[in-house]
Amino acid sequence: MKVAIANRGEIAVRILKTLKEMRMPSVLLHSSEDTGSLAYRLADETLCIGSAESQNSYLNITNIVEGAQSAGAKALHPGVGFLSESSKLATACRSADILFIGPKAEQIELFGNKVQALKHVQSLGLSTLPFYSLAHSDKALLRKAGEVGFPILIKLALGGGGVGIKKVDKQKDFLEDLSSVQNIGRSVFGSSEIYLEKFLEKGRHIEVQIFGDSSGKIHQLFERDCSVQKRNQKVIEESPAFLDEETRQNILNTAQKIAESVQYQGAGTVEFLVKDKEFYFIEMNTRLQVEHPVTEMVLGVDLVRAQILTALKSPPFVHPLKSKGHAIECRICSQDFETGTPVSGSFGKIQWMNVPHSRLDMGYESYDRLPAYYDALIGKVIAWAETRPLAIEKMKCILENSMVFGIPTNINEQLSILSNAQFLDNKHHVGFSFAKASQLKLSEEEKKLIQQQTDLLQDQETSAFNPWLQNW
Amino acid sequence: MKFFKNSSGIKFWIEKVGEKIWVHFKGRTFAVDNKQEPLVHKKTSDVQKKSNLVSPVPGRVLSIKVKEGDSVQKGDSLIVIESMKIEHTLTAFQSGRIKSILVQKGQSVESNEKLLIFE
Repeated sequence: MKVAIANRGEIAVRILKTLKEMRMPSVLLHSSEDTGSLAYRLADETLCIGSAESQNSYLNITNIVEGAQSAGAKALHPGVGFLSESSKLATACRSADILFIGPKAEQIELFGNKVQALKHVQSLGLSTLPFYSLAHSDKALLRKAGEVGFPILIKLALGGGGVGIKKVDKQKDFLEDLSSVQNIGRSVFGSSEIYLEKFLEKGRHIEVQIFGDSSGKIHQLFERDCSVQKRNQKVIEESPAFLDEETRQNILNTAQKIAESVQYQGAGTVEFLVKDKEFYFIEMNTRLQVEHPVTEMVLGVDLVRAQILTALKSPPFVHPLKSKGHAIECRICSQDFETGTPVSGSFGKIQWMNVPHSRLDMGYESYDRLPAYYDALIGKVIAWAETRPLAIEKMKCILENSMVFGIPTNINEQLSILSNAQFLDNKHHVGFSFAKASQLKLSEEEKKLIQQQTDLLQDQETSAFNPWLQNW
Repeated sequence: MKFFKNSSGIKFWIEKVGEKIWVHFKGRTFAVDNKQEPLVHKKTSDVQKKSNLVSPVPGRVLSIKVKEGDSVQKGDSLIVIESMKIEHTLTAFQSGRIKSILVQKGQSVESNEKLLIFE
Protein backbone atom coordinates (compact mmCIF):
# COMPACT_ATOMS: atom_id res chain seq x y z
CA MET A 1 0.00 0.00 0.00
CA LYS A 2 1.58 3.24 -1.12
CA VAL A 3 1.20 6.00 1.47
CA ALA A 4 1.21 9.72 0.68
CA ILE A 5 2.51 12.18 3.24
CA ALA A 6 0.95 15.63 3.17
CA ASN A 7 3.45 17.29 5.42
CA ARG A 8 7.06 18.39 5.75
CA GLY A 9 9.98 18.77 8.13
CA GLU A 10 10.69 16.47 11.03
CA ILE A 11 7.21 14.95 11.18
CA ALA A 12 7.37 13.89 7.52
CA VAL A 13 10.72 12.26 8.30
CA ARG A 14 9.20 10.57 11.35
CA ILE A 15 6.37 9.05 9.29
CA LEU A 16 8.76 8.02 6.50
CA LYS A 17 10.89 6.10 8.98
CA THR A 18 7.96 3.93 10.04
CA LEU A 19 6.85 3.43 6.43
CA LYS A 20 10.34 2.23 5.57
CA GLU A 21 10.33 -0.11 8.54
CA MET A 22 6.98 -1.51 7.44
CA ARG A 23 8.27 -1.82 3.86
CA MET A 24 5.48 0.39 2.59
CA PRO A 25 6.23 2.61 -0.40
CA SER A 26 5.89 6.34 0.20
CA VAL A 27 5.26 9.48 -1.76
CA LEU A 28 6.03 12.84 -0.24
CA LEU A 29 3.67 15.60 -1.35
CA HIS A 30 5.76 18.71 -0.96
CA SER A 31 5.94 22.37 -1.85
CA SER A 32 8.40 23.75 -4.36
CA GLU A 33 10.43 25.15 -1.46
CA ASP A 34 11.10 21.80 0.21
CA THR A 35 13.30 19.97 -2.27
CA GLY A 36 16.37 20.37 -0.11
CA SER A 37 14.98 18.62 2.97
CA LEU A 38 15.71 15.33 4.63
CA ALA A 39 12.15 14.13 4.01
CA TYR A 40 12.61 14.79 0.30
CA ARG A 41 15.71 12.62 0.27
CA LEU A 42 14.16 9.82 2.32
CA ALA A 43 10.87 9.43 0.47
CA ASP A 44 10.62 6.74 -2.21
CA GLU A 45 8.80 9.17 -4.46
CA THR A 46 8.23 12.89 -4.29
CA LEU A 47 5.62 15.03 -5.93
CA CYS A 48 5.52 18.81 -5.89
CA ILE A 49 1.95 19.89 -5.20
CA GLY A 50 2.34 23.64 -5.20
CA SER A 51 4.37 26.69 -4.44
CA ALA A 52 6.10 27.61 -1.20
CA GLU A 53 3.13 29.37 0.38
CA SER A 54 1.24 26.82 2.48
CA GLN A 55 -2.16 27.79 1.05
CA ASN A 56 -0.95 26.57 -2.34
CA SER A 57 0.56 23.34 -1.10
CA TYR A 58 0.32 21.94 2.44
CA LEU A 59 -3.02 23.64 3.05
CA ASN A 60 -4.51 22.97 -0.37
CA ILE A 61 -6.90 20.02 -0.15
CA THR A 62 -7.47 19.77 -3.90
CA ASN A 63 -3.77 19.70 -4.71
CA ILE A 64 -3.09 17.16 -1.98
CA VAL A 65 -5.84 14.73 -2.95
CA GLU A 66 -5.11 15.03 -6.67
CA GLY A 67 -1.41 14.61 -5.98
CA ALA A 68 -1.98 11.49 -3.91
CA GLN A 69 -4.24 10.06 -6.63
CA SER A 70 -1.85 10.77 -9.46
CA ALA A 71 0.98 9.16 -7.50
CA GLY A 72 -1.16 6.06 -7.01
CA ALA A 73 -1.24 6.37 -3.22
CA LYS A 74 -3.84 4.25 -1.48
CA ALA A 75 -3.55 6.02 1.89
CA LEU A 76 -2.62 9.46 3.19
CA HIS A 77 -0.97 10.52 6.44
CA PRO A 78 -1.60 14.20 7.28
CA GLY A 79 1.14 14.49 9.93
CA VAL A 80 0.69 17.28 12.48
CA GLY A 81 -0.34 20.90 11.97
CA PHE A 82 -1.43 22.00 8.48
CA LEU A 83 -4.51 19.91 7.56
CA SER A 84 -4.07 17.18 10.14
CA GLU A 85 -7.23 18.33 11.92
CA SER A 86 -9.26 19.11 8.86
CA SER A 87 -12.43 17.06 8.54
CA LYS A 88 -12.61 18.37 4.97
CA LEU A 89 -9.36 16.64 4.07
CA ALA A 90 -10.58 13.40 5.69
CA THR A 91 -13.82 13.63 3.72
CA ALA A 92 -12.05 14.52 0.46
CA CYS A 93 -9.79 11.49 0.87
CA ARG A 94 -12.76 9.24 1.47
CA SER A 95 -14.46 10.52 -1.71
CA ALA A 96 -11.27 9.90 -3.66
CA ASP A 97 -11.03 6.36 -2.29
CA ILE A 98 -7.88 7.17 -0.34
CA LEU A 99 -7.55 5.82 3.18
CA PHE A 100 -7.14 8.75 5.58
CA ILE A 101 -4.76 7.74 8.38
CA GLY A 102 -6.51 9.41 11.27
CA PRO A 103 -9.85 9.56 13.03
CA LYS A 104 -13.22 9.71 11.32
CA ALA A 105 -14.27 13.03 9.80
CA GLU A 106 -17.10 13.46 12.34
CA GLN A 107 -14.67 13.04 15.22
CA ILE A 108 -12.29 15.62 13.80
CA GLU A 109 -15.20 17.95 13.22
CA LEU A 110 -16.57 17.67 16.77
CA PHE A 111 -13.27 18.43 18.48
CA GLY A 112 -12.02 20.83 15.82
CA ASN A 113 -14.31 23.52 17.14
CA LYS A 114 -13.13 24.07 20.72
CA VAL A 115 -16.45 25.51 21.85
CA GLN A 116 -18.31 22.46 20.59
CA ALA A 117 -15.74 20.23 22.26
CA LEU A 118 -16.09 22.02 25.61
CA LYS A 119 -19.86 21.72 25.42
CA HIS A 120 -19.61 18.04 24.55
CA VAL A 121 -17.33 17.39 27.52
CA GLN A 122 -19.63 19.33 29.84
CA SER A 123 -22.55 17.25 28.61
CA LEU A 124 -20.67 14.18 29.83
CA GLY A 125 -20.61 15.72 33.29
CA LEU A 126 -16.85 16.36 33.19
CA SER A 127 -15.14 19.53 34.31
CA THR A 128 -13.96 22.38 32.13
CA LEU A 129 -12.89 25.85 33.13
CA PRO A 130 -15.74 28.37 33.01
CA PHE A 131 -16.04 29.54 29.42
CA TYR A 132 -18.31 31.83 27.52
CA SER A 133 -18.97 31.76 23.80
CA LEU A 134 -22.23 33.41 22.87
CA ALA A 135 -22.16 37.12 22.41
CA HIS A 136 -23.99 39.50 20.18
CA SER A 137 -21.49 42.25 20.57
CA ASP A 138 -18.00 43.02 21.73
CA LYS A 139 -19.49 45.01 24.59
CA ALA A 140 -21.45 41.98 25.78
CA LEU A 141 -18.21 40.00 25.73
CA LEU A 142 -16.48 42.72 27.70
CA ARG A 143 -19.25 42.64 30.30
CA LYS A 144 -18.97 38.86 30.52
CA ALA A 145 -15.19 39.08 30.89
CA GLY A 146 -15.72 41.47 33.78
CA GLU A 147 -18.04 38.95 35.45
CA VAL A 148 -15.59 36.04 35.02
CA GLY A 149 -12.73 38.25 36.15
CA PHE A 150 -9.27 39.14 34.88
CA PRO A 151 -6.89 37.79 33.78
CA ILE A 152 -8.97 36.00 31.19
CA LEU A 153 -8.13 34.13 28.01
CA ILE A 154 -9.52 34.98 24.60
CA LYS A 155 -9.27 31.90 22.40
CA LEU A 156 -10.15 31.12 18.82
CA ALA A 157 -12.76 28.37 18.46
CA LEU A 158 -10.84 26.92 15.52
CA GLY A 159 -7.38 27.80 16.83
CA GLY A 160 -4.54 25.38 17.33
CA GLY A 161 -0.82 25.04 17.77
CA GLY A 162 -0.77 27.84 20.32
CA VAL A 163 -2.00 30.35 17.75
CA GLY A 164 -4.97 32.54 18.60
CA ILE A 165 -4.73 32.56 22.37
CA LYS A 166 -4.43 35.84 24.22
CA LYS A 167 -4.27 36.41 27.95
CA VAL A 168 -5.84 39.70 28.93
CA ASP A 169 -4.70 41.07 32.27
CA LYS A 170 -6.71 44.27 32.45
CA GLN A 171 -10.20 45.24 31.46
CA LYS A 172 -9.01 48.27 29.52
CA ASP A 173 -7.00 46.06 27.11
CA PHE A 174 -9.87 43.69 26.45
CA LEU A 175 -11.45 45.20 23.34
CA GLU A 176 -8.15 45.78 21.62
CA ASP A 177 -6.94 42.23 22.33
CA LEU A 178 -10.28 40.85 21.23
CA SER A 179 -10.04 42.44 17.82
CA SER A 180 -6.43 41.31 17.41
CA VAL A 181 -7.38 37.68 18.14
CA GLN A 182 -10.33 37.95 15.77
CA ASN A 183 -8.05 39.28 13.05
CA ILE A 184 -5.63 36.39 13.51
CA GLY A 185 -8.59 34.01 13.33
CA ARG A 186 -9.81 35.48 10.07
CA SER A 187 -6.42 35.39 8.41
CA VAL A 188 -5.08 32.07 9.74
CA PHE A 189 -8.10 29.87 10.36
CA GLY A 190 -10.75 31.55 8.22
CA SER A 191 -13.01 32.20 11.20
CA SER A 192 -13.09 34.87 13.86
CA GLU A 193 -15.25 32.82 16.24
CA ILE A 194 -13.84 33.21 19.73
CA TYR A 195 -14.62 32.16 23.28
CA LEU A 196 -13.53 33.37 26.69
CA GLU A 197 -11.98 30.99 29.18
CA LYS A 198 -11.15 31.63 32.81
CA PHE A 199 -7.40 31.84 33.29
CA LEU A 200 -6.04 29.28 35.72
CA GLU A 201 -3.12 30.73 37.70
CA LYS A 202 -0.09 28.48 37.92
CA GLY A 203 -1.78 25.64 36.09
CA ARG A 204 0.14 22.79 34.53
CA HIS A 205 -0.52 21.46 31.08
CA ILE A 206 -1.07 17.73 31.26
CA GLU A 207 -2.37 15.72 28.36
CA VAL A 208 -3.37 12.12 27.90
CA GLN A 209 -2.46 10.11 24.82
CA ILE A 210 -5.36 7.90 23.89
CA PHE A 211 -5.71 5.49 21.02
CA GLY A 212 -8.85 3.92 19.61
CA ASP A 213 -8.33 0.70 17.69
CA SER A 214 -10.51 -0.53 14.83
CA SER A 215 -12.49 -2.83 17.14
CA GLY A 216 -13.70 0.22 19.08
CA LYS A 217 -11.50 -0.31 22.12
CA ILE A 218 -9.92 2.81 23.64
CA HIS A 219 -6.38 2.36 24.92
CA GLN A 220 -5.02 4.97 27.28
CA LEU A 221 -1.29 5.55 26.77
CA PHE A 222 -0.65 7.56 29.91
CA GLU A 223 0.05 11.23 30.23
CA ARG A 224 2.55 13.87 29.20
CA ASP A 225 3.43 17.05 31.05
CA CYS A 226 3.95 19.97 28.67
CA SER A 227 4.16 22.79 31.21
CA VAL A 228 7.34 24.33 29.85
CA GLN A 229 5.92 26.73 27.32
CA LYS A 230 6.91 29.94 25.66
CA ARG A 231 4.36 32.17 23.94
CA ASN A 232 1.80 29.32 24.18
CA GLN A 233 4.20 26.99 22.41
CA LYS A 234 5.39 23.82 24.07
CA VAL A 235 9.13 23.75 24.58
CA ILE A 236 9.79 20.67 26.73
CA GLU A 237 7.53 17.65 27.20
CA GLU A 238 7.83 14.75 29.60
CA SER A 239 6.20 11.52 30.61
CA PRO A 240 5.12 10.62 33.23
CA ALA A 241 3.80 13.82 34.82
CA PHE A 242 4.44 14.80 38.42
CA LEU A 243 1.07 13.82 39.92
CA ASP A 244 -0.21 11.89 42.89
CA GLU A 245 -1.50 8.48 41.86
CA GLU A 246 -5.13 9.31 42.54
CA THR A 247 -5.15 12.46 40.41
CA ARG A 248 -3.29 10.64 37.65
CA GLN A 249 -5.91 7.89 37.56
CA ASN A 250 -8.72 10.45 37.58
CA ILE A 251 -7.22 12.30 34.66
CA LEU A 252 -6.53 9.12 32.69
CA ASN A 253 -10.07 7.88 33.29
CA THR A 254 -11.57 11.21 32.25
CA ALA A 255 -9.62 11.17 28.98
CA GLN A 256 -10.74 7.62 28.34
CA LYS A 257 -14.39 8.58 28.93
CA ILE A 258 -14.14 11.46 26.47
CA ALA A 259 -12.64 9.21 23.81
CA GLU A 260 -15.18 6.48 24.46
CA SER A 261 -18.06 8.94 24.19
CA VAL A 262 -17.40 9.21 20.45
CA GLN A 263 -15.89 5.72 19.82
CA TYR A 264 -12.74 7.56 18.90
CA GLN A 265 -10.52 5.92 16.33
CA GLY A 266 -6.78 6.40 15.99
CA ALA A 267 -4.34 8.56 17.93
CA GLY A 268 -5.70 11.47 19.92
CA THR A 269 -4.67 13.69 22.79
CA VAL A 270 -6.93 14.99 25.52
CA GLU A 271 -5.50 18.16 27.04
CA PHE A 272 -6.08 19.36 30.58
CA LEU A 273 -5.00 22.20 32.82
CA VAL A 274 -4.15 20.86 36.23
CA LYS A 275 -3.71 22.55 39.58
CA ASP A 276 -3.09 20.37 42.61
CA LYS A 277 -5.86 17.77 42.46
CA GLU A 278 -8.15 19.84 40.23
CA PHE A 279 -8.10 19.34 36.49
CA TYR A 280 -10.05 20.86 33.65
CA PHE A 281 -10.51 19.67 30.07
CA ILE A 282 -9.32 22.33 27.63
CA GLU A 283 -9.30 20.62 24.24
CA MET A 284 -8.77 17.42 22.34
CA ASN A 285 -6.41 17.08 19.40
CA THR A 286 -7.52 14.52 16.86
CA ARG A 287 -4.12 13.70 15.46
CA LEU A 288 -0.60 12.66 16.26
CA GLN A 289 1.18 15.29 18.37
CA VAL A 290 4.66 16.69 17.96
CA GLU A 291 5.51 15.35 21.43
CA HIS A 292 4.32 11.77 20.75
CA PRO A 293 7.88 10.39 21.08
CA VAL A 294 7.95 10.76 24.88
CA THR A 295 4.98 8.39 25.02
CA GLU A 296 6.67 6.04 22.56
CA MET A 297 9.80 6.01 24.71
CA VAL A 298 8.10 5.14 28.02
CA LEU A 299 5.83 2.54 26.39
CA GLY A 300 8.14 1.11 23.75
CA VAL A 301 5.52 1.42 21.01
CA ASP A 302 5.38 3.10 17.59
CA LEU A 303 2.34 5.35 17.32
CA VAL A 304 2.67 5.94 13.57
CA ARG A 305 2.74 2.20 13.07
CA ALA A 306 -0.29 1.90 15.35
CA GLN A 307 -2.10 4.51 13.24
CA ILE A 308 -1.36 2.67 10.02
CA LEU A 309 -2.34 -0.70 11.50
CA THR A 310 -5.60 0.76 12.75
CA ALA A 311 -6.39 2.22 9.33
CA LEU A 312 -5.84 -1.32 7.99
CA LYS A 313 -8.14 -2.72 10.71
CA SER A 314 -5.32 -4.58 12.44
CA PRO A 315 -4.57 -4.51 16.18
CA PRO A 316 -2.25 -1.57 16.93
CA PHE A 317 -0.24 -3.01 19.83
CA VAL A 318 1.19 -6.43 20.62
CA HIS A 319 1.60 -6.30 24.39
CA PRO A 320 -0.37 -4.67 27.20
CA LEU A 321 0.77 -1.06 27.63
CA LYS A 322 3.01 -0.35 30.60
CA SER A 323 4.86 2.86 31.29
CA LYS A 324 8.49 2.49 32.30
CA GLY A 325 11.04 5.08 33.38
CA HIS A 326 10.97 8.73 32.32
CA ALA A 327 11.19 10.36 28.92
CA ILE A 328 11.82 13.99 28.10
CA GLU A 329 11.72 15.85 24.79
CA CYS A 330 13.30 19.18 23.89
CA ARG A 331 12.06 20.95 20.81
CA ILE A 332 14.91 22.38 18.78
CA CYS A 333 13.82 25.55 17.03
CA SER A 334 15.49 28.18 14.96
CA GLN A 335 15.68 31.24 17.15
CA ASP A 336 17.80 34.37 17.07
CA PHE A 337 20.16 34.39 20.04
CA GLU A 338 19.24 37.95 20.93
CA THR A 339 15.71 38.64 19.76
CA GLY A 340 14.33 35.10 20.06
CA THR A 341 12.65 35.31 16.66
CA PRO A 342 12.91 32.46 14.13
CA VAL A 343 15.62 32.72 11.52
CA SER A 344 15.63 31.06 8.12
CA GLY A 345 18.63 30.37 5.94
CA SER A 346 21.21 27.69 5.34
CA PHE A 347 22.60 25.42 7.99
CA GLY A 348 26.28 24.82 8.38
CA LYS A 349 27.45 21.61 9.93
CA ILE A 350 24.90 19.90 12.19
CA GLN A 351 26.20 17.30 14.62
CA TRP A 352 24.16 15.45 17.25
CA MET A 353 25.45 13.25 20.00
CA ASN A 354 23.72 9.91 19.97
CA VAL A 355 23.61 8.18 23.36
CA PRO A 356 21.83 4.99 24.48
CA HIS A 357 18.05 5.41 24.94
CA SER A 358 17.99 8.70 23.14
CA ARG A 359 16.33 9.63 19.93
CA LEU A 360 16.79 12.36 17.34
CA ASP A 361 13.74 13.31 15.29
CA MET A 362 15.20 15.80 12.87
CA GLY A 363 13.91 17.41 9.70
CA TYR A 364 17.24 18.73 8.50
CA GLU A 365 20.84 17.68 8.06
CA SER A 366 24.06 19.62 7.59
CA TYR A 367 23.94 22.31 4.90
CA ASP A 368 20.17 21.95 4.31
CA ARG A 369 18.06 25.06 3.86
CA LEU A 370 15.53 26.10 6.48
CA PRO A 371 12.78 27.83 4.49
CA ALA A 372 11.23 31.06 5.71
CA TYR A 373 7.71 29.93 4.86
CA TYR A 374 7.05 27.44 7.62
CA ASP A 375 7.54 27.00 11.34
CA ALA A 376 10.81 27.21 13.22
CA LEU A 377 10.92 23.58 14.35
CA ILE A 378 14.19 21.97 13.29
CA GLY A 379 13.57 18.76 15.18
CA LYS A 380 13.36 17.16 18.59
CA VAL A 381 15.76 15.47 20.93
CA ILE A 382 14.24 12.80 23.15
CA ALA A 383 15.98 11.11 26.06
CA TRP A 384 14.81 8.21 28.19
CA ALA A 385 16.24 7.08 31.52
CA GLU A 386 15.07 5.24 34.59
CA THR A 387 14.21 8.41 36.52
CA ARG A 388 13.42 12.07 35.75
CA PRO A 389 16.74 13.41 37.08
CA LEU A 390 18.66 10.87 35.02
CA ALA A 391 16.65 11.71 31.90
CA ILE A 392 17.34 15.42 32.42
CA GLU A 393 21.05 14.75 32.86
CA LYS A 394 21.06 12.69 29.70
CA MET A 395 19.33 15.47 27.80
CA LYS A 396 21.85 18.03 29.04
CA CYS A 397 24.68 15.75 27.98
CA ILE A 398 23.25 15.40 24.48
CA LEU A 399 22.62 19.12 24.03
CA GLU A 400 25.99 20.19 25.38
CA ASN A 401 27.75 17.86 22.98
CA SER A 402 25.71 18.67 19.92
CA MET A 403 26.02 21.62 17.59
CA VAL A 404 23.94 23.33 14.97
CA PHE A 405 25.90 25.84 12.91
CA GLY A 406 24.69 28.43 10.43
CA ILE A 407 21.28 29.05 12.00
CA PRO A 408 20.86 30.10 15.64
CA THR A 409 18.75 27.76 17.78
CA ASN A 410 17.17 27.59 21.21
CA ILE A 411 19.60 24.89 22.40
CA ASN A 412 21.36 27.24 24.84
CA GLU A 413 17.99 28.28 26.19
CA GLN A 414 16.93 24.65 26.57
CA LEU A 415 20.10 24.00 28.53
CA SER A 416 19.37 26.84 30.91
CA ILE A 417 15.81 25.54 31.51
CA LEU A 418 17.22 22.07 32.18
CA SER A 419 19.32 23.59 34.98
CA ASN A 420 16.57 25.81 36.37
CA ALA A 421 15.76 25.08 40.03
CA GLN A 422 11.98 25.40 39.53
CA PHE A 423 12.10 23.00 36.64
CA LEU A 424 14.29 20.51 38.50
CA ASP A 425 11.92 20.64 41.50
CA ASN A 426 8.99 20.22 39.11
CA LYS A 427 7.41 23.42 40.39
CA HIS A 428 7.13 25.27 37.10
CA HIS A 429 3.80 25.96 35.42
CA VAL A 430 2.46 27.03 32.05
CA GLY A 431 2.91 30.75 32.66
CA PHE A 432 6.36 30.45 34.18
CA SER A 433 8.92 32.50 32.30
CA PHE A 434 12.36 31.02 32.37
CA ALA A 435 15.26 33.43 32.34
CA LYS A 436 16.84 34.03 28.98
CA ALA A 437 19.91 31.94 28.32
CA SER A 438 22.98 33.94 29.18
CA GLN A 439 25.38 34.44 26.34
CA LEU A 440 28.76 32.89 26.87
CA LYS A 441 31.35 35.56 27.44
CA LEU A 442 34.48 35.03 25.43
CA SER A 443 37.76 36.07 26.96
CA GLU A 444 40.07 38.22 24.85
CA GLU A 445 42.35 35.26 24.45
CA GLU A 446 39.53 33.01 23.27
CA LYS A 447 38.40 35.66 20.81
CA LYS A 448 41.88 35.89 19.34
CA LEU A 449 42.16 32.16 19.18
CA ILE A 450 38.91 31.80 17.31
CA GLN A 451 39.89 34.57 14.92
CA GLN A 452 43.19 32.87 14.19
CA GLN A 453 41.55 29.56 13.58
CA THR A 454 39.09 31.24 11.28
CA ASP A 455 41.96 32.74 9.35
CA LEU A 456 43.21 29.24 8.84
CA LEU A 457 39.80 28.19 7.59
CA GLN A 458 39.85 31.03 5.09
CA ASP A 459 43.25 29.99 3.92
CA GLN A 460 41.82 26.61 3.22
CA GLU A 461 39.05 28.19 1.24
CA THR A 462 41.39 30.19 -0.94
CA SER A 463 44.25 27.79 -1.40
CA ALA A 464 44.31 24.56 -3.30
CA PHE A 465 47.71 23.69 -1.82
CA ASN A 466 46.77 23.64 1.77
CA PRO A 467 48.80 22.10 4.54
CA TRP A 468 45.79 21.90 6.89
CA LEU A 469 43.38 20.30 4.49
CA GLN A 470 43.68 17.04 6.36
CA ASN A 471 41.88 18.59 9.30
CA TRP A 472 38.66 18.72 7.36
CA MET B 1 34.11 22.41 10.47
CA LYS B 2 37.38 22.51 12.36
CA PHE B 3 38.19 21.12 15.76
CA PHE B 4 41.00 22.25 18.05
CA LYS B 5 41.97 22.49 21.70
CA ASN B 6 43.62 25.31 23.53
CA SER B 7 46.39 24.85 26.04
CA SER B 8 43.93 24.28 28.89
CA GLY B 9 42.37 21.41 26.95
CA ILE B 10 39.20 23.31 26.14
CA LYS B 11 37.72 22.02 22.92
CA PHE B 12 36.56 24.25 20.12
CA TRP B 13 34.58 23.47 17.02
CA ILE B 14 34.39 26.28 14.50
CA GLU B 15 32.95 26.78 11.09
CA LYS B 16 32.58 29.80 8.88
CA VAL B 17 29.06 30.00 7.48
CA GLY B 18 28.32 33.06 5.41
CA GLU B 19 29.73 36.11 7.13
CA LYS B 20 29.77 34.57 10.58
CA ILE B 21 32.01 32.26 12.47
CA TRP B 22 30.12 29.59 14.37
CA VAL B 23 31.75 28.36 17.52
CA HIS B 24 30.89 25.51 19.85
CA PHE B 25 32.78 25.37 23.11
CA LYS B 26 32.07 24.72 26.77
CA GLY B 27 28.84 23.03 25.74
CA ARG B 28 27.35 26.06 24.01
CA THR B 29 27.05 27.17 20.39
CA PHE B 30 27.11 30.75 19.23
CA ALA B 31 28.10 32.94 16.33
CA VAL B 32 30.64 35.73 16.17
CA ASP B 33 31.07 38.31 13.47
CA ASN B 34 33.99 37.75 11.21
CA LYS B 35 35.81 41.06 11.31
CA GLN B 36 39.18 40.02 10.01
CA GLU B 37 40.61 41.13 6.74
CA PRO B 38 41.15 38.24 4.39
CA LEU B 39 43.61 40.19 2.18
CA VAL B 40 46.74 39.09 3.99
CA HIS B 41 45.68 35.51 3.84
CA LYS B 42 45.14 35.52 0.15
CA LYS B 43 48.77 36.43 -0.03
CA THR B 44 49.59 33.46 2.14
CA SER B 45 48.08 31.16 -0.41
CA ASP B 46 49.90 32.84 -3.22
CA VAL B 47 53.20 32.45 -1.45
CA GLN B 48 52.55 28.81 -0.71
CA LYS B 49 51.92 28.08 -4.34
CA LYS B 50 55.48 29.21 -4.96
CA SER B 51 56.70 26.26 -2.92
CA ASN B 52 57.44 28.12 0.27
CA LEU B 53 55.97 27.06 3.57
CA VAL B 54 54.87 30.09 5.55
CA SER B 55 53.51 30.38 9.04
CA PRO B 56 49.76 30.92 9.09
CA VAL B 57 49.91 32.53 12.53
CA PRO B 58 52.30 34.61 14.59
CA GLY B 59 53.98 32.36 17.14
CA ARG B 60 56.99 30.35 18.09
CA VAL B 61 58.63 27.37 16.40
CA LEU B 62 58.15 24.41 18.75
CA SER B 63 59.86 21.79 16.66
CA ILE B 64 61.21 21.12 13.21
CA LYS B 65 60.56 17.60 11.98
CA VAL B 66 62.71 17.64 8.84
CA LYS B 67 66.26 18.47 7.75
CA GLU B 68 67.48 20.22 4.65
CA GLY B 69 67.70 17.77 1.78
CA ASP B 70 64.99 15.47 3.13
CA SER B 71 62.43 14.06 0.74
CA VAL B 72 58.89 14.43 2.04
CA GLN B 73 55.52 13.14 0.99
CA LYS B 74 52.44 15.31 0.78
CA GLY B 75 50.90 15.39 4.25
CA ASP B 76 54.13 14.76 6.19
CA SER B 77 54.62 16.89 9.30
CA LEU B 78 57.22 19.60 8.76
CA ILE B 79 57.13 22.21 11.50
CA VAL B 80 55.11 22.73 14.66
CA ILE B 81 54.20 26.31 15.55
CA GLU B 82 52.79 27.35 18.88
CA SER B 83 50.45 30.27 18.89
CA MET B 84 48.00 31.42 21.56
CA LYS B 85 48.75 28.21 23.44
CA ILE B 86 47.71 26.10 20.50
CA GLU B 87 49.93 23.81 18.51
CA HIS B 88 49.68 23.99 14.75
CA THR B 89 51.34 21.15 12.92
CA LEU B 90 52.24 22.34 9.45
CA THR B 91 52.28 19.54 6.91
CA ALA B 92 53.70 19.28 3.41
CA PHE B 93 51.21 20.56 0.86
CA GLN B 94 53.11 18.72 -1.87
CA SER B 95 55.70 15.95 -2.17
CA GLY B 96 59.28 17.00 -2.79
CA ARG B 97 62.67 17.79 -1.32
CA ILE B 98 63.39 20.41 1.32
CA LYS B 99 65.83 22.92 -0.14
CA SER B 100 66.35 25.05 2.92
CA ILE B 101 64.96 25.69 6.40
CA LEU B 102 64.84 29.34 7.35
CA VAL B 103 63.94 29.13 11.04
CA GLN B 104 65.26 27.53 14.19
CA LYS B 105 63.59 25.82 17.08
CA GLY B 106 62.34 28.36 19.66
CA GLN B 107 62.38 31.21 17.19
CA SER B 108 59.48 33.63 17.02
CA VAL B 109 57.81 33.98 13.65
CA GLU B 110 55.36 36.39 12.18
CA SER B 111 52.27 35.56 10.28
CA ASN B 112 53.19 34.83 6.64
CA GLU B 113 56.87 34.51 7.48
CA LYS B 114 58.71 32.00 5.30
CA LEU B 115 59.66 28.87 7.23
CA LEU B 116 61.14 26.61 4.61
CA ILE B 117 61.60 26.35 0.89
CA PHE B 118 60.95 23.34 -1.34
CA GLU B 119 63.18 22.55 -4.27
